[in-house]
Amino acid sequence: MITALLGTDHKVVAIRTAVIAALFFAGAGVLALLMRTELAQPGLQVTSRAGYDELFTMHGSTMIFLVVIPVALAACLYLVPLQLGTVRACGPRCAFAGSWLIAIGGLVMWAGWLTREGPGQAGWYAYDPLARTPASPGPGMDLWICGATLATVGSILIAACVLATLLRRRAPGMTMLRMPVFSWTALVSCLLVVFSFPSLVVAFGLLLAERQGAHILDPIAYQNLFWFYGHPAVYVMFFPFVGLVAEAASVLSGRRFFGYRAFVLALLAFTALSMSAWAHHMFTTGAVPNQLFALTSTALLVPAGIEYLDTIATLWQGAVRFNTAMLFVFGFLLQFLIGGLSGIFVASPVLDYQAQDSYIVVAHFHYTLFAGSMFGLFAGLYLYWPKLTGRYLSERLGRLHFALLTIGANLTFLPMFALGNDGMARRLADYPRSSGWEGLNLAASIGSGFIALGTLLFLVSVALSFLRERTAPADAWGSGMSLEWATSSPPPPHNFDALAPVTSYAPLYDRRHRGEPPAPAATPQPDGARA
Amino acid sequence: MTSGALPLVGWGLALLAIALLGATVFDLGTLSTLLLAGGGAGSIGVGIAQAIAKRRRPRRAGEPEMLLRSSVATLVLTAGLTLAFVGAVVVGPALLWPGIGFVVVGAGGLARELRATRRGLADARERSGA
Repeated sequence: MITALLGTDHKVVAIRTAVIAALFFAGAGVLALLMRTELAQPGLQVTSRAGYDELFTMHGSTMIFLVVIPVALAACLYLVPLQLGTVRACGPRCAFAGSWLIAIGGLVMWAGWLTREGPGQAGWYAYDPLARTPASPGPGMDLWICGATLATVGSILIAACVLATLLRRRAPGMTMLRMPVFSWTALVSCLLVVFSFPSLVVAFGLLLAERQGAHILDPIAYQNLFWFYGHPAVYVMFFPFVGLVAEAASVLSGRRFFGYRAFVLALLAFTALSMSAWAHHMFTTGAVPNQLFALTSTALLVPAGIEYLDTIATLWQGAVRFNTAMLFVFGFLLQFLIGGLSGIFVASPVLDYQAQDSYIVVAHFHYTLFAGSMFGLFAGLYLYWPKLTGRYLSERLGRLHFALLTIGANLTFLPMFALGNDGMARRLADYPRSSGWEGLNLAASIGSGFIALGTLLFLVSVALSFLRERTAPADAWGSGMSLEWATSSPPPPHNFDALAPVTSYAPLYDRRHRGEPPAPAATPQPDGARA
Repeated sequence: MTSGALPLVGWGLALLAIALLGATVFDLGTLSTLLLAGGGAGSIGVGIAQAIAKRRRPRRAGEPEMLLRSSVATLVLTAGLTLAFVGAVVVGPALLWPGIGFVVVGAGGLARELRATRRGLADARERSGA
């Protein structure tokens, strides 16, 4: 218990961060269910209009600041040192502090529920002047800004540690172009966090000052600062999951990842473009050069296409194992495609003017962030659970989990495209019976119930796995590619007793095909220190 | 590609190029240009710093390392900074002063921890003859 709370080992910090994120995920899920219950039929049944503002603000901000970004970074922090063949991550105290800042930041954000005026209610972007004191009075909004700032600083600290580990602690022979695919996705994600997230800290600092009476904030400048963080954040919530999907595709088809160099180059181009596309969120302000941001946003398709094709080509003619992890890989590829393709529409200023603030946007980002990223996360969880715990998750429950989540995600988010097309605006607590939106909203609400059921089933599966014996060997699927599969499941505190020489980005594959064991025999190390 | 400097510098240059394109062709505003160019320059700076650090202090295989198991001081320091921040902005002195107290205690503990780590590492090096 003390290790779980105070441990600084990268694996302990990563698991703690993921558990914190899971707790907030449960909270955000409850808020989402409340919103969907409210929208299931016309009229106000569950909450008031102001209450609904609080629900969507806290749901969105919890999911982004406290769930998806932290869990993406936790995956990076857990896997990167193992994939690089190093005994520890750089800056263990820094990552440890980052993990606790996310937890404390979340509690501060949620403490707003205890105030008379309620928590933040200005949306997860807290636009100025909506987030100023006259429109959003009370300490709840201040607590929300403080909490989000603290969680963001926590994310920056963790990302800085992962980035330093990638640059400074690779095993002998592990050149940049021998890093596994997931490590590359971690590198680009951490670049985005380190160089774009500080702009949110500045924006929220200015917003706090504005709320204290300083007149220094310009709404357009705020939006620029916010979205310079906000859009790259979307990719921080995407790249690590692409990496997990790529690893799952490779391991579970028994093939080296196809087109490795093209993937790496595409990833770097993708990241540079994704950092330059933020103002497509501001097309309708008329204060940004729309052509430039339409160009960078649309150009994202090219590297995205390369990554997709590389992943599919890895599966092509491979000995594909259709287990739960692989089902989630296919789920990710198909559903993120819907999110990505709908992104092309809103990347066009002409279409974006029509879709702005409608449910089309809600559908688009939920297809990318939930139906996409969360499916990628589950692919990674099912793949790496034996590595994390030494135990396998139930395949039978896993398949049911996949089915419920797939039905739930599509039943919830697909009707939203039709609702948006029909003119339903986002952030509405109520709609008239004459609008004809009742059926689609009811379907979406039923879908959210499927998602909740699927998530509960996953929790049951996790709990049941802890009742089983630890049976997973080092290479839990027998076809591991990179170094994490060469150490025991779960790995020891020093990660490796002995390291296999790194000859390519798939050193274990190479050894297997040369008929060698995954790792050479360990040599004893002096107590208290590991080489 | 043995150094991490190359992708970082390349990535930074790509951002600078997009900032330049935006400023010269698309009338990109000053703040937007600065944000993009700042990100690019930061990445180039980290890349160069990484190359210099690698040359000055290359990692040697077999060098003993300390594995930090836990750090109460870091937690106290983090909690203190958080309390002080929330106290200063929202709650007031009731949180601010305890927060500052935690920061002082945490910083002192951290200094002790760092000293102990250095000492332990020196001992381990001595034992392994590195």
